[in-house]
Amino acid sequence: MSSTNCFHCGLVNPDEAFELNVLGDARFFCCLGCRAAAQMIVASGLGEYYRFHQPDQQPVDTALSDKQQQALLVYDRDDVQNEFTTRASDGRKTAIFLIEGISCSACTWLIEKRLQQLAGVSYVAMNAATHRLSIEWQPGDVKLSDIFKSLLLIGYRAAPYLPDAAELARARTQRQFILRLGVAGIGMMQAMMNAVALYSGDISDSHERWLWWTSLLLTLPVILISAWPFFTAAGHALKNRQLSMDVSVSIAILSAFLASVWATVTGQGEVFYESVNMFTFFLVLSRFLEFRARTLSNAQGNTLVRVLPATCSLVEGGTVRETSIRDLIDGQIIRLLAGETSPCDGTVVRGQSEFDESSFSGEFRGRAKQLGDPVLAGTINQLQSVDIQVQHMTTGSAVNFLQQLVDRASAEKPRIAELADRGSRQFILSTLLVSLLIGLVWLWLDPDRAFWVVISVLVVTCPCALSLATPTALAQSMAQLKRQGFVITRGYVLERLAQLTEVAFDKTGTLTEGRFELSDFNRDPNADRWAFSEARLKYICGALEQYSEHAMANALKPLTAEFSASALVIEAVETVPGAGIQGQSELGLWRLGSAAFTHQDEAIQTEGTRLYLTCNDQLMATLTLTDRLRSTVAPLFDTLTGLQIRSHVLTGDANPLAEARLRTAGLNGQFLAGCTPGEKLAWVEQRAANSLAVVGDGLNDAPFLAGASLSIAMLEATDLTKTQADVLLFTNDLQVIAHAIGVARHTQKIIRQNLAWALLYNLIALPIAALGLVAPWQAAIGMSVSSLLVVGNASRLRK
Amino acid sequence: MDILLLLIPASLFLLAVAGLLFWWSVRSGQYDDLDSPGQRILFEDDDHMVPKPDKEQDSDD
Repeated sequence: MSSTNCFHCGLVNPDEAFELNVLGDARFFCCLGCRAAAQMIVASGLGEYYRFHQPDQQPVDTALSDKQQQALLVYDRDDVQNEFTTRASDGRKTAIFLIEGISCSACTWLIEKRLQQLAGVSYVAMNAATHRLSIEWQPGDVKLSDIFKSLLLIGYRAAPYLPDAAELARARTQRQFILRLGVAGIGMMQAMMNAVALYSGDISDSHERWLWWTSLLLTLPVILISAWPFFTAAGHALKNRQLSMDVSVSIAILSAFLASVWATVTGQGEVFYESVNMFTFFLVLSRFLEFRARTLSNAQGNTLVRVLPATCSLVEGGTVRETSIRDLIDGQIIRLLAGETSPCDGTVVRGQSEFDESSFSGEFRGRAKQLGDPVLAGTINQLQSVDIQVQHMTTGSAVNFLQQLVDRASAEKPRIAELADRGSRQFILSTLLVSLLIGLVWLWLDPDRAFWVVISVLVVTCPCALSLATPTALAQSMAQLKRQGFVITRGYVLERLAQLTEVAFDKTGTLTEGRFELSDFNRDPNADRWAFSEARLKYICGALEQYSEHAMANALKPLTAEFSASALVIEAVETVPGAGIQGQSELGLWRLGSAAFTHQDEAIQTEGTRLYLTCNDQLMATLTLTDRLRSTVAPLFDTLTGLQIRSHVLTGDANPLAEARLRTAGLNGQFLAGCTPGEKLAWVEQRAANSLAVVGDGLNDAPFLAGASLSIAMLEATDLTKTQADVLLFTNDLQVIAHAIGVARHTQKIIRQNLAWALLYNLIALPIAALGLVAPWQAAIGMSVSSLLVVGNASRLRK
Repeated sequence: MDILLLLIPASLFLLAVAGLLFWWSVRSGQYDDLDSPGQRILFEDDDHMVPKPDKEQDSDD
């Protein structure tokens, strides 16, 4: 890893990177959070982690504020723990947590080792595939909040995990697949050994019969365990009067197996036990790989658990006590401290503050809330404590409303049939008819040979190659894309990606980084009077914002670092919601905030947010804060244009000035500002089905994603949004979207080649077999070779 | 070649035992995580298990 990328998370470093000595070498980091995590990891003696880890390009959150630490303490309460822990007889507790931020196997090693170092933790097991941590601890020796804190300090977030029905079914299916695969594999190898003995030639009849019978015994478990689900699926399809791939697979397996059984019992003809076993094994393997590629996502389960806190502070007759949010009723008053998430809708009845409503509007500038203003569930109090009166507990909060929009949109989502099954229906039907016809003709010509000719025809035309053609290619592409952080969660994604003509993006948090950066600092000539340097003015801005939780404050806090010697002490810092911040120094009153707050003239509207720093109402400096475009946006638009795909941007942000910047980056479609979630959904529904993909991250994007034929959620997306996504991006590099479209088109080409080959092979082999020129064992070889060719062709996608 | 009459049933018996063990290992969740165990072996965190000539080193852990 070069010094231009962060040693911990792999993101490109800023010009002045943070440096730390790691095991004797100077390493560079993109942010303080990553450096602190690295420091912690090395100090715990776990530096070995960096030898194998694959950076996930996800910076560690900067150090925990006191308020966040206090929020973790809620997990120490017994009534909260009872919801997700089980207690053993000796007092130990066990629980399962979902861990965010895992990118590779080195992460699982690191988490296990770090937690084992804590006294009182007796068992830790981390599953890299499902991102789940099983842990057992002694509550007397270690507090649960300390476990959460140790994880946060090395860069992982944890949340209690309660599996839902779909997740349990997934785990069961995976075990079933492995069992089927193992049985088919063992059966295949043993049957092949017997086959070698049979085909070696010099063998007596009695020995041959003995080998046949033992092969039959070997094949039975494969039929009963490995192949059985194909038969039941085929049965379902037939009951619904449909011909699926499972029907043809079942016909092929059963006809070859029954013919072999017939030959074994009567002692004449040929057996194909090894073909039955091998075919079953490869088929289960390709289905398993497809299943794994499809379900490797940790997004299911836990929909809104993490957005809402489990308890809140209830104000009753002048006293405050903690209560569960499930016990809240309309009209009660709860107290929200700074940094807390509101558990319900309500109105402010005491105090004033600013709320972060970014999960609804996409607008992450805080919104001022005065007495009587409404507060939405799931929004975060940013400034100071307020009391709110609970509303809508019975009729449903705003989060529930979004959930309803999502449910409606996903119910109306256009569904298409599986690609392979459409083509195979006519094929299966015609094969069956042709075999029947050939059987009748041979029955009339030569009744003795009729049965074996029909078997040869069925084996030769066995749709193995046809049925392997699509899933093998899909599995290869999905695995390849997953390695690049493009994780596909639904089966139809690749097919739709290949047909795309339009992509719509959310702006804030998707195309931009979703946080303020200081983009311009303009020192005013007024500052000459006190001979304030730029660095000193920056220090003052940072000092004013030092204890603020505001979204803008985080961009200004680091400014204090640039100016070390400070003679100027700023005291009595006070925040004015919706306006700015002020503090006293020996020189007078400093103010940092909007034009109105600092009594300055509003300059022309700019794309970013403009702040003014004044001392006794004298302008000292003008600051511009913008939400930067991700560096990969311009190359992404460029490649999409090359692929003849139109890009659109829909944003909840009402400021239309971002359009110019996006046009420069190469935006070639529409730009719509100030869209509500409903308007975004309506826009998507006007578009043609199957040609539009949408990319988003916020809670407000969930309906938008649910309504589109193909949806992609960003890494930082809220959980509700992730559950609606067909694709999860596990990287901040947006170019992977354009790359995936290329891969999907290539995959489609490979699938067509595979299908064409499978059909061509059948067209040639069928007449030869119909003429009775192919012995059944020759047919079996032909069938296997054509399947191998298809699998080999699909593996070209891996490169 | 009559030895086949004995050897094949013997191998079938061993196969059945292997199959049952496999069934047990799947049931007990040993195959639930197919990714990390393969890489875990790469970490050199087993110093305390490596026998050393000098006995004082063995006391830790």
